[in-house]
Amino acid sequence: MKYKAYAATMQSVWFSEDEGQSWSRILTPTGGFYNEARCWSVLTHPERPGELLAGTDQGLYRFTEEKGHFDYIPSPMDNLHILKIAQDPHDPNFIVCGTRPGEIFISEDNGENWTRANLDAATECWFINTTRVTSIHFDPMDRDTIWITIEIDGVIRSRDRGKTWEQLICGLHDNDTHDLVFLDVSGNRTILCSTEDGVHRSTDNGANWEQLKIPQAKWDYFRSLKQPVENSPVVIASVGDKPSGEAGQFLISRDFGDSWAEAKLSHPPNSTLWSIGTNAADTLLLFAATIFGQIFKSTDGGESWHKIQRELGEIRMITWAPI
Amino acid sequence: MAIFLFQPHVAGPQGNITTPDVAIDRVFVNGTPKPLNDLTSEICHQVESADTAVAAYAVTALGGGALLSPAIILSSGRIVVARKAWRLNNLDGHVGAVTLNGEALNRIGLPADAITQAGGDDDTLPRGYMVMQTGEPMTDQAELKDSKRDRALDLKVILEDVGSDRWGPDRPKPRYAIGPTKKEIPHFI
Repeated sequence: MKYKAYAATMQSVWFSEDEGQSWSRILTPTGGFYNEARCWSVLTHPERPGELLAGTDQGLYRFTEEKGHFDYIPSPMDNLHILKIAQDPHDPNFIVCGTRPGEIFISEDNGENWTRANLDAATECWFINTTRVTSIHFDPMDRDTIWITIEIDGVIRSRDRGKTWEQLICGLHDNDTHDLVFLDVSGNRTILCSTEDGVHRSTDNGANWEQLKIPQAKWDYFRSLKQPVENSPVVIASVGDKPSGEAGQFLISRDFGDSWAEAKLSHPPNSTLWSIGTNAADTLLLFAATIFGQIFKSTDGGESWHKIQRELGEIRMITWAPI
Repeated sequence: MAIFLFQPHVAGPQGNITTPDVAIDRVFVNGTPKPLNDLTSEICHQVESADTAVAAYAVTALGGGALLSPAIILSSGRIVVARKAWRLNNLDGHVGAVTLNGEALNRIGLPADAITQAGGDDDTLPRGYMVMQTGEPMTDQAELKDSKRDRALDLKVILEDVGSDRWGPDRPKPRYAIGPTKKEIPHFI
Protein backbone atom coordinates (compact mmCIF):
# COMPACT_ATOMS: atom_id res chain seq x y z
CA MET A 1 0.00 0.00 0.00
CA LYS A 2 1.37 3.39 -1.02
CA TYR A 3 0.73 6.07 1.53
CA LYS A 4 1.75 9.53 2.61
CA ALA A 5 2.34 10.80 6.10
CA TYR A 6 1.51 14.40 6.94
CA ALA A 7 2.75 16.58 9.81
CA ALA A 8 1.18 19.89 10.81
CA THR A 9 3.95 22.09 12.18
CA MET A 10 4.72 25.66 13.03
CA GLN A 11 6.49 25.73 9.67
CA SER A 12 3.62 24.59 7.46
CA VAL A 13 2.75 21.04 6.38
CA TRP A 14 5.42 18.40 5.86
CA PHE A 15 4.89 15.37 3.63
CA SER A 16 6.61 11.98 3.70
CA GLU A 17 6.31 9.66 0.73
CA ASP A 18 8.78 7.03 1.96
CA GLU A 19 7.08 5.65 5.04
CA GLY A 20 8.27 8.49 7.24
CA GLN A 21 12.00 8.32 6.56
CA SER A 22 12.29 11.66 4.83
CA TRP A 23 10.04 14.71 4.97
CA SER A 24 9.65 17.76 2.77
CA ARG A 25 7.38 20.71 2.31
CA ILE A 26 5.56 21.72 -0.83
CA LEU A 27 7.64 24.00 -3.04
CA THR A 28 6.88 27.64 -2.29
CA PRO A 29 6.88 28.83 -5.95
CA THR A 30 4.25 26.29 -6.92
CA GLY A 31 2.54 24.95 -3.83
CA GLY A 32 0.06 27.61 -2.81
CA PHE A 33 1.17 27.55 0.81
CA TYR A 34 3.50 29.82 2.74
CA ASN A 35 6.10 27.47 4.11
CA GLU A 36 6.31 29.22 7.44
CA ALA A 37 2.57 29.34 8.00
CA ARG A 38 1.63 27.97 11.38
CA CYS A 39 -0.37 24.80 10.81
CA TRP A 40 -2.18 23.03 13.64
CA SER A 41 -4.32 20.44 11.91
CA VAL A 42 -4.22 18.07 8.97
CA LEU A 43 -7.08 15.81 7.98
CA THR A 44 -7.75 13.11 5.40
CA HIS A 45 -10.99 11.29 4.57
CA PRO A 46 -11.26 7.74 3.23
CA GLU A 47 -13.69 8.85 0.51
CA ARG A 48 -11.23 11.51 -0.70
CA PRO A 49 -7.91 9.76 -1.37
CA GLY A 50 -5.13 12.21 -2.07
CA GLU A 51 -6.97 15.10 -0.44
CA LEU A 52 -5.69 16.85 2.68
CA LEU A 53 -7.32 19.67 4.61
CA ALA A 54 -4.99 21.92 6.60
CA GLY A 55 -5.91 24.45 9.28
CA THR A 56 -3.51 27.35 9.71
CA ASP A 57 -3.12 30.89 10.97
CA GLN A 58 -3.89 32.13 7.44
CA GLY A 59 -7.04 30.19 6.72
CA LEU A 60 -8.17 26.78 5.61
CA TYR A 61 -6.44 24.96 2.76
CA ARG A 62 -7.08 21.91 0.62
CA PHE A 63 -4.26 19.91 -0.99
CA THR A 64 -4.99 17.38 -3.71
CA GLU A 65 -2.61 14.93 -5.32
CA GLU A 66 -4.25 15.66 -8.67
CA LYS A 67 -3.34 19.35 -8.59
CA GLY A 68 -0.16 18.96 -6.56
CA HIS A 69 -0.77 22.18 -4.67
CA PHE A 70 -2.84 23.71 -1.91
CA ASP A 71 -5.96 25.72 -2.72
CA TYR A 72 -7.08 28.38 -0.30
CA ILE A 73 -10.67 27.91 0.93
CA PRO A 74 -12.33 31.25 1.70
CA SER A 75 -13.98 31.22 5.11
CA PRO A 76 -14.69 33.47 8.08
CA MET A 77 -11.73 31.86 9.86
CA ASP A 78 -8.87 33.63 8.07
CA ASN A 79 -8.01 35.73 11.11
CA LEU A 80 -8.40 32.90 13.62
CA HIS A 81 -6.21 29.92 14.36
CA ILE A 82 -7.79 26.80 12.87
CA LEU A 83 -6.71 24.22 15.42
CA LYS A 84 -8.88 21.22 14.57
CA ILE A 85 -10.80 19.96 11.53
CA ALA A 86 -13.24 17.07 11.29
CA GLN A 87 -15.25 15.65 8.40
CA ASP A 88 -18.40 13.58 8.76
CA PRO A 89 -17.26 9.99 8.17
CA HIS A 90 -20.36 9.48 6.02
CA ASP A 91 -20.23 12.82 4.19
CA PRO A 92 -16.87 14.52 3.56
CA ASN A 93 -18.72 17.65 2.42
CA PHE A 94 -19.75 18.22 6.04
CA ILE A 95 -16.74 19.91 7.64
CA VAL A 96 -16.40 21.14 11.21
CA CYS A 97 -13.53 23.41 12.25
CA GLY A 98 -12.49 24.39 15.76
CA THR A 99 -10.50 27.51 16.41
CA ARG A 100 -8.73 29.72 18.90
CA PRO A 101 -10.66 31.54 20.36
CA GLY A 102 -12.87 28.55 21.12
CA GLU A 103 -15.39 28.67 18.30
CA ILE A 104 -16.89 26.13 15.95
CA PHE A 105 -17.51 26.75 12.24
CA ILE A 106 -19.49 24.34 10.07
CA SER A 107 -19.74 23.89 6.32
CA GLU A 108 -22.29 21.51 4.81
CA ASP A 109 -21.12 22.03 1.24
CA ASN A 110 -17.42 21.16 1.20
CA GLY A 111 -16.28 24.58 2.36
CA GLU A 112 -18.33 26.77 0.02
CA ASN A 113 -20.39 28.31 2.84
CA TRP A 114 -19.76 28.48 6.57
CA THR A 115 -21.87 28.94 9.69
CA ARG A 116 -20.50 29.93 13.06
CA ALA A 117 -22.06 27.69 15.69
CA ASN A 118 -23.82 29.22 18.66
CA LEU A 119 -21.31 27.66 21.03
CA ASP A 120 -21.61 28.48 24.70
CA ALA A 121 -17.93 27.94 25.39
CA ALA A 122 -16.03 30.06 27.87
CA THR A 123 -14.85 33.28 26.26
CA GLU A 124 -12.06 33.88 28.74
CA CYS A 125 -9.85 31.58 30.74
CA TRP A 126 -7.68 32.61 33.66
CA PHE A 127 -4.98 30.07 32.93
CA ILE A 128 -4.58 30.43 29.16
CA ASN A 129 -6.49 33.69 28.62
CA THR A 130 -8.10 32.42 25.42
CA THR A 131 -9.86 29.09 25.05
CA ARG A 132 -9.20 26.76 22.13
CA VAL A 133 -10.73 23.67 20.58
CA THR A 134 -8.57 20.60 21.12
CA SER A 135 -10.62 17.86 19.41
CA ILE A 136 -13.75 17.33 17.33
CA HIS A 137 -15.52 13.97 16.99
CA PHE A 138 -18.51 12.75 15.04
CA ASP A 139 -20.42 10.35 17.26
CA PRO A 140 -19.76 6.81 16.01
CA MET A 141 -23.40 5.77 16.58
CA ASP A 142 -25.44 8.92 16.02
CA ARG A 143 -24.76 10.93 12.88
CA ASP A 144 -26.39 14.06 14.32
CA THR A 145 -24.14 14.21 17.38
CA ILE A 146 -20.83 16.05 17.44
CA TRP A 147 -18.49 16.10 20.43
CA ILE A 148 -15.74 18.60 21.09
CA THR A 149 -13.17 19.16 23.79
CA ILE A 150 -12.12 22.68 24.70
CA GLU A 151 -9.05 23.82 26.53
CA ILE A 152 -10.01 24.90 29.10
CA ASP A 153 -13.77 24.36 29.18
CA GLY A 154 -14.49 20.66 29.32
CA VAL A 155 -16.51 18.46 27.00
CA ILE A 156 -19.24 19.98 24.84
CA ARG A 157 -21.79 18.07 22.75
CA SER A 158 -24.29 18.90 20.04
CA ARG A 159 -27.11 16.48 19.24
CA ASP A 160 -28.33 18.42 16.19
CA ARG A 161 -25.24 18.68 13.99
CA GLY A 162 -23.96 21.85 15.60
CA LYS A 163 -27.09 23.93 16.03
CA THR A 164 -27.22 23.71 19.84
CA TRP A 165 -24.59 22.63 22.36
CA GLU A 166 -24.41 21.47 25.98
CA GLN A 167 -21.45 21.33 28.34
CA LEU A 168 -20.73 17.97 30.02
CA ILE A 169 -18.31 18.43 32.90
CA CYS A 170 -19.90 16.72 35.90
CA GLY A 171 -17.15 14.80 37.67
CA LEU A 172 -14.25 16.07 35.58
CA HIS A 173 -11.34 16.85 37.90
CA ASP A 174 -10.05 19.25 35.29
CA ASN A 175 -11.76 21.01 32.36
CA ASP A 176 -8.47 21.11 30.45
CA THR A 177 -9.73 18.45 28.05
CA HIS A 178 -7.82 17.17 25.04
CA ASP A 179 -9.33 14.15 23.32
CA LEU A 180 -12.12 11.55 23.38
CA VAL A 181 -12.57 7.90 22.36
CA PHE A 182 -15.80 5.89 22.31
CA LEU A 183 -16.66 2.22 22.85
CA ASP A 184 -20.17 0.95 22.15
CA VAL A 185 -20.90 -2.65 23.11
CA SER A 186 -24.42 -4.14 23.18
CA GLY A 187 -26.02 -0.74 23.66
CA ASN A 188 -23.66 0.25 26.45
CA ARG A 189 -21.35 3.17 25.84
CA THR A 190 -18.09 4.09 27.52
CA ILE A 191 -16.22 7.30 26.71
CA LEU A 192 -12.68 8.15 27.73
CA CYS A 193 -11.53 11.75 27.92
CA SER A 194 -7.90 12.80 28.22
CA THR A 195 -7.19 15.85 30.33
CA GLU A 196 -4.38 17.74 31.95
CA ASP A 197 -5.21 15.68 35.03
CA GLY A 198 -5.33 12.15 33.72
CA VAL A 199 -8.01 10.18 31.91
CA HIS A 200 -11.69 10.38 32.81
CA ARG A 201 -14.37 7.82 31.97
CA SER A 202 -18.09 8.20 31.42
CA THR A 203 -20.53 5.32 31.24
CA ASP A 204 -23.63 7.49 30.82
CA ASN A 205 -22.85 9.21 27.52
CA GLY A 206 -20.97 12.10 29.07
CA ALA A 207 -23.41 13.06 31.81
CA ASN A 208 -20.92 12.08 34.53
CA TRP A 209 -17.19 11.49 34.54
CA GLU A 210 -14.86 9.66 36.90
CA GLN A 211 -11.10 9.97 37.00
CA LEU A 212 -9.21 6.75 36.27
CA LYS A 213 -6.31 5.62 38.40
CA ILE A 214 -3.41 4.89 36.09
CA PRO A 215 -0.33 4.03 38.16
CA GLN A 216 1.67 3.30 35.02
CA ALA A 217 1.44 6.96 34.04
CA LYS A 218 4.58 8.85 34.98
CA TRP A 219 2.73 12.13 34.64
CA ASP A 220 -0.85 13.42 34.73
CA TYR A 221 -0.78 15.24 31.41
CA PHE A 222 -2.63 13.07 28.87
CA ARG A 223 -2.95 14.45 25.38
CA SER A 224 -3.99 12.21 22.46
CA LEU A 225 -6.22 9.14 22.73
CA LYS A 226 -6.53 6.85 19.72
CA GLN A 227 -8.18 3.54 18.88
CA PRO A 228 -6.26 1.96 16.00
CA VAL A 229 -9.36 -0.15 15.33
CA GLU A 230 -12.69 1.66 15.43
CA ASN A 231 -14.89 0.71 18.39
CA SER A 232 -12.13 -1.47 19.80
CA PRO A 233 -11.21 -1.68 23.49
CA VAL A 234 -7.57 -1.06 22.56
CA VAL A 235 -6.60 2.54 23.25
CA ILE A 236 -3.24 4.28 22.86
CA ALA A 237 -2.64 7.33 25.04
CA SER A 238 0.09 9.91 24.66
CA VAL A 239 1.43 11.40 27.86
CA GLY A 240 3.92 14.05 28.88
CA ASP A 241 5.32 15.83 31.90
CA LYS A 242 3.54 19.06 30.94
CA PRO A 243 2.86 21.25 27.90
CA SER A 244 5.21 21.47 26.11
CA GLY A 245 7.29 19.42 28.46
CA GLU A 246 10.60 17.61 28.41
CA ALA A 247 9.54 13.96 28.51
CA GLY A 248 6.76 11.65 27.51
CA GLN A 249 5.45 8.10 27.26
CA PHE A 250 2.88 6.00 25.45
CA LEU A 251 0.38 3.97 27.42
CA ILE A 252 -1.72 1.25 25.89
CA SER A 253 -4.94 -0.17 27.31
CA ARG A 254 -6.47 -3.33 25.90
CA ASP A 255 -9.61 -3.12 28.03
CA PHE A 256 -10.66 0.46 27.33
CA GLY A 257 -9.06 2.06 30.30
CA ASP A 258 -9.37 -0.57 33.03
CA SER A 259 -5.68 -1.37 32.88
CA TRP A 260 -2.72 0.20 31.15
CA ALA A 261 0.79 -0.79 30.17
CA GLU A 262 3.66 1.30 28.92
CA ALA A 263 4.49 0.89 25.25
CA LYS A 264 8.10 0.38 24.19
CA LEU A 265 9.92 3.41 22.80
CA SER A 266 13.22 3.17 20.93
CA HIS A 267 14.30 6.60 22.20
CA PRO A 268 13.20 8.83 25.07
CA PRO A 269 10.80 11.55 23.90
CA ASN A 270 12.18 15.08 24.08
CA SER A 271 8.82 16.56 25.12
CA THR A 272 5.20 15.60 25.58
CA LEU A 273 3.90 13.07 23.02
CA TRP A 274 1.31 15.31 21.43
CA SER A 275 -0.35 13.59 18.50
CA ILE A 276 -1.05 10.06 17.30
CA GLY A 277 -2.07 9.36 13.71
CA THR A 278 -4.05 6.27 12.75
CA ASN A 279 -5.82 5.09 9.62
CA ALA A 280 -8.29 2.23 9.19
CA ALA A 281 -6.49 1.21 6.00
CA ASP A 282 -3.79 -0.40 8.18
CA THR A 283 -4.62 -0.60 11.85
CA LEU A 284 -1.09 -1.71 12.75
CA LEU A 285 0.57 1.36 11.26
CA LEU A 286 0.66 4.42 13.50
CA PHE A 287 2.65 7.64 13.49
CA ALA A 288 3.12 9.86 16.51
CA ALA A 289 4.94 13.07 17.29
CA THR A 290 6.26 14.96 20.24
CA ILE A 291 5.40 18.62 20.28
CA PHE A 292 9.10 19.42 19.83
CA GLY A 293 9.55 17.60 16.59
CA GLN A 294 10.34 13.94 17.16
CA ILE A 295 8.45 11.44 15.02
CA PHE A 296 7.76 7.89 16.14
CA LYS A 297 6.34 5.07 14.05
CA SER A 298 4.69 1.83 15.11
CA THR A 299 4.00 -1.13 12.87
CA ASP A 300 2.47 -3.32 15.56
CA GLY A 301 -0.59 -1.32 16.51
CA GLY A 302 1.15 0.87 19.07
CA GLU A 303 2.82 -1.83 21.18
CA SER A 304 6.28 -0.56 20.23
CA TRP A 305 7.53 2.63 18.64
CA HIS A 306 10.64 3.39 16.64
CA LYS A 307 11.93 6.94 16.43
CA ILE A 308 12.51 8.21 12.93
CA GLN A 309 15.86 9.94 12.55
CA ARG A 310 14.42 13.03 10.88
CA GLU A 311 13.05 15.60 13.28
CA LEU A 312 10.91 18.58 12.41
CA GLY A 313 10.24 21.78 14.34
CA GLU A 314 7.21 22.10 16.53
CA ILE A 315 4.68 19.43 15.51
CA ARG A 316 1.03 19.87 16.42
CA MET A 317 -0.52 16.95 14.55
CA ILE A 318 0.56 13.94 12.52
CA THR A 319 -1.45 11.57 10.38
CA TRP A 320 -1.18 9.32 7.36
CA ALA A 321 -3.39 8.07 4.54
CA PRO A 322 -3.22 5.81 1.49
CA ILE A 323 -2.81 7.65 -1.81
CA MET B 1 1.05 54.50 8.55
CA ALA B 2 -1.90 52.35 7.65
CA ILE B 3 -1.03 49.05 6.01
CA PHE B 4 -3.24 46.35 4.53
CA LEU B 5 -1.57 42.96 4.21
CA PHE B 6 -2.86 41.40 1.00
CA GLN B 7 -2.32 37.62 0.92
CA PRO B 8 -3.26 36.52 -2.58
CA HIS B 9 -2.93 33.06 -4.09
CA VAL B 10 -1.56 33.78 -7.53
CA ALA B 11 -2.45 31.11 -10.06
CA GLY B 12 0.07 30.79 -12.86
CA PRO B 13 -0.65 29.59 -16.38
CA GLN B 14 0.69 26.10 -15.61
CA GLY B 15 -1.51 25.73 -12.54
CA ASN B 16 1.22 26.62 -10.06
CA ILE B 17 0.27 28.86 -7.17
CA THR B 18 2.49 31.39 -5.43
CA THR B 19 1.59 33.14 -2.19
CA PRO B 20 3.33 36.52 -1.94
CA ASP B 21 2.23 38.74 0.94
CA VAL B 22 1.87 42.31 -0.27
CA ALA B 23 1.89 45.45 1.89
CA ILE B 24 -0.70 47.85 0.45
CA ASP B 25 -0.82 51.45 1.60
CA ARG B 26 -2.91 53.17 -1.10
CA VAL B 27 -6.15 52.03 -2.66
CA PHE B 28 -8.20 53.68 -5.41
CA VAL B 29 -11.71 52.93 -6.66
CA ASN B 30 -12.47 54.24 -10.14
CA GLY B 31 -9.56 56.64 -9.78
CA THR B 32 -10.58 58.03 -6.40
CA PRO B 33 -8.37 57.37 -3.35
CA LYS B 34 -10.18 55.55 -0.55
CA PRO B 35 -9.32 54.99 3.13
CA LEU B 36 -7.08 51.99 3.38
CA ASN B 37 -8.90 50.78 6.49
CA ASP B 38 -11.92 50.06 4.29
CA LEU B 39 -9.87 47.50 2.34
CA THR B 40 -10.29 43.89 3.43
CA SER B 41 -10.31 40.29 2.28
CA GLU B 42 -12.92 39.22 4.82
CA ILE B 43 -15.90 37.59 3.13
CA CYS B 44 -18.58 38.21 5.80
CA HIS B 45 -19.93 41.74 6.20
CA GLN B 46 -22.65 43.36 8.23
CA VAL B 47 -24.58 45.85 6.11
CA GLU B 48 -27.57 48.17 6.39
CA SER B 49 -30.63 46.88 4.60
CA ALA B 50 -30.30 49.56 1.92
CA ASP B 51 -26.64 48.83 1.25
CA THR B 52 -25.66 47.52 -2.14
CA ALA B 53 -22.65 45.77 -3.59
CA VAL B 54 -21.04 46.01 -6.98
CA ALA B 55 -18.54 43.71 -8.65
CA ALA B 56 -15.11 45.07 -9.46
CA TYR B 57 -11.63 44.00 -10.35
CA ALA B 58 -8.49 44.96 -8.46
CA VAL B 59 -5.00 45.51 -9.84
CA THR B 60 -2.17 45.21 -7.33
CA ALA B 61 1.40 46.38 -7.74
CA LEU B 62 3.88 43.53 -7.40
CA GLY B 63 7.47 42.89 -8.40
CA GLY B 64 6.88 39.92 -10.66
CA GLY B 65 4.03 41.62 -12.46
CA ALA B 66 0.81 43.31 -11.38
CA LEU B 67 -2.00 41.11 -10.12
CA LEU B 68 -5.61 40.99 -11.28
CA SER B 69 -8.19 39.90 -8.69
CA PRO B 70 -11.97 39.88 -8.34
CA ALA B 71 -13.31 42.43 -5.87
CA ILE B 72 -16.59 43.75 -4.52
CA ILE B 73 -17.29 47.30 -3.43
CA LEU B 74 -19.97 47.78 -0.80
CA SER B 75 -21.96 51.01 -0.66
CA SER B 76 -21.00 51.18 3.02
CA GLY B 77 -17.50 51.91 1.79
CA ARG B 78 -15.96 48.52 2.45
CA ILE B 79 -13.71 47.33 -0.35
CA VAL B 80 -13.35 43.56 -0.54
CA VAL B 81 -10.56 42.01 -2.56
CA ALA B 82 -10.35 38.24 -3.08
CA ARG B 83 -7.26 36.35 -1.93
CA LYS B 84 -6.97 35.06 -5.50
CA ALA B 85 -5.16 36.55 -8.47
CA TRP B 86 -3.63 36.15 -11.91
CA ARG B 87 -0.64 38.05 -13.21
CA LEU B 88 -1.56 40.65 -15.79
CA ASN B 89 1.49 39.62 -17.79
CA ASN B 90 -0.03 36.18 -18.22
CA LEU B 91 -3.01 37.82 -19.88
CA ASP B 92 -0.99 39.64 -22.53
CA GLY B 93 -2.95 40.04 -25.69
CA HIS B 94 -6.29 39.03 -24.32
CA VAL B 95 -6.85 40.97 -21.10
CA GLY B 96 -9.65 42.90 -22.79
CA ALA B 97 -11.46 39.63 -23.43
CA VAL B 98 -11.35 38.63 -19.77
CA THR B 99 -14.83 39.07 -18.34
CA LEU B 100 -16.09 40.35 -15.01
CA ASN B 101 -19.47 38.76 -14.35
CA GLY B 102 -19.84 38.18 -18.08
CA GLU B 103 -18.84 41.64 -19.22
CA ALA B 104 -15.54 42.08 -21.05
CA LEU B 105 -12.94 44.29 -19.43
CA ASN B 106 -12.75 46.06 -22.81
CA ARG B 107 -16.18 47.47 -22.02
CA ILE B 108 -15.72 48.01 -18.28
CA GLY B 109 -12.32 49.64 -18.56
CA LEU B 110 -8.93 48.08 -19.12
CA PRO B 111 -6.48 47.54 -16.25
CA ALA B 112 -3.91 49.63 -18.13
CA ASP B 113 -6.26 52.61 -18.02
CA ALA B 114 -6.85 52.16 -14.28
CA ILE B 115 -3.10 51.92 -13.76
CA THR B 116 -2.45 55.07 -15.77
CA GLN B 117 -5.16 56.91 -13.87
CA ALA B 118 -3.37 56.04 -10.62
CA GLY B 119 -0.05 57.34 -11.93
CA GLY B 120 1.33 54.04 -13.13
CA ASP B 121 2.59 53.04 -16.52
CA ASP B 122 1.24 50.26 -18.75
CA ASP B 123 1.07 47.24 -16.39
CA THR B 124 3.24 48.71 -13.63
CA LEU B 125 1.71 50.40 -10.63
CA PRO B 126 3.64 52.34 -7.98
CA ARG B 127 4.75 50.13 -5.10
CA GLY B 128 2.06 49.59 -2.46
CA TYR B 129 -0.80 50.56 -4.78
CA MET B 130 -4.04 48.72 -5.46
CA VAL B 131 -6.53 50.12 -7.94
CA MET B 132 -10.12 49.00 -8.44
CA GLN B 133 -12.43 49.32 -11.41
CA THR B 134 -16.12 48.66 -10.83
CA GLY B 135 -18.40 46.83 -13.23
CA GLU B 136 -22.09 46.10 -13.35
CA PRO B 137 -24.54 44.87 -12.25
CA MET B 138 -25.06 45.11 -8.47
CA THR B 139 -24.15 41.77 -6.98
CA ASP B 140 -22.55 40.03 -4.05
CA GLN B 141 -20.44 37.89 -6.35
CA ALA B 142 -17.61 38.76 -8.68
CA GLU B 143 -16.15 36.34 -11.20
CA LEU B 144 -13.25 36.96 -13.51
CA LYS B 145 -13.24 34.51 -16.40
CA ASP B 146 -10.35 33.91 -18.75
CA SER B 147 -11.91 31.93 -21.58
CA LYS B 148 -8.64 31.67 -23.48
CA ARG B 149 -7.09 29.66 -20.67
CA ASP B 150 -10.40 28.22 -19.46
CA ARG B 151 -10.02 29.41 -15.90
CA ALA B 152 -11.89 31.64 -13.47
CA LEU B 153 -11.42 33.46 -10.17
CA ASP B 154 -14.40 34.21 -7.99
CA LEU B 155 -15.29 36.14 -4.86
CA LYS B 156 -18.52 35.72 -2.97
CA VAL B 157 -19.32 37.90 0.02
CA ILE B 158 -21.87 37.11 2.68
CA LEU B 159 -23.94 40.15 3.58
CA GLU B 160 -25.62 40.04 6.97
CA ASP B 161 -28.25 42.54 8.05
CA VAL B 162 -26.68 44.71 10.75
CA GLY B 163 -30.02 44.90 12.54
CA SER B 164 -30.61 41.19 12.91
CA ASP B 165 -29.24 38.93 15.64
CA ARG B 166 -29.08 35.42 14.24
CA TRP B 167 -29.15 33.92 17.72
CA GLY B 168 -31.48 36.38 19.43
CA PRO B 169 -32.53 35.20 22.88
CA ASP B 170 -30.49 32.01 22.39
CA ARG B 171 -27.25 33.97 22.44
CA PRO B 172 -25.40 32.85 25.58
CA LYS B 173 -23.77 35.11 28.13
CA PRO B 174 -19.98 35.14 28.09
CA ARG B 175 -18.53 32.58 30.46
CA TYR B 176 -15.26 32.53 32.35
CA ALA B 177 -13.14 29.43 32.83
CA ILE B 178 -10.56 29.04 35.55
CA GLY B 179 -8.34 26.41 34.10
CA PRO B 180 -6.55 23.64 35.99
CA THR B 181 -8.29 22.98 39.26
CA LYS B 182 -5.84 20.71 41.03
CA LYS B 183 -5.06 23.45 43.48
CA GLU B 184 -6.42 26.80 44.58
CA ILE B 185 -5.24 29.56 42.32
CA PRO B 186 -5.48 33.35 42.48
CA HIS B 187 -7.59 35.09 39.86
CA PHE B 188 -6.07 38.22 38.47
CA ILE B 189 -9.29 39.74 37.22
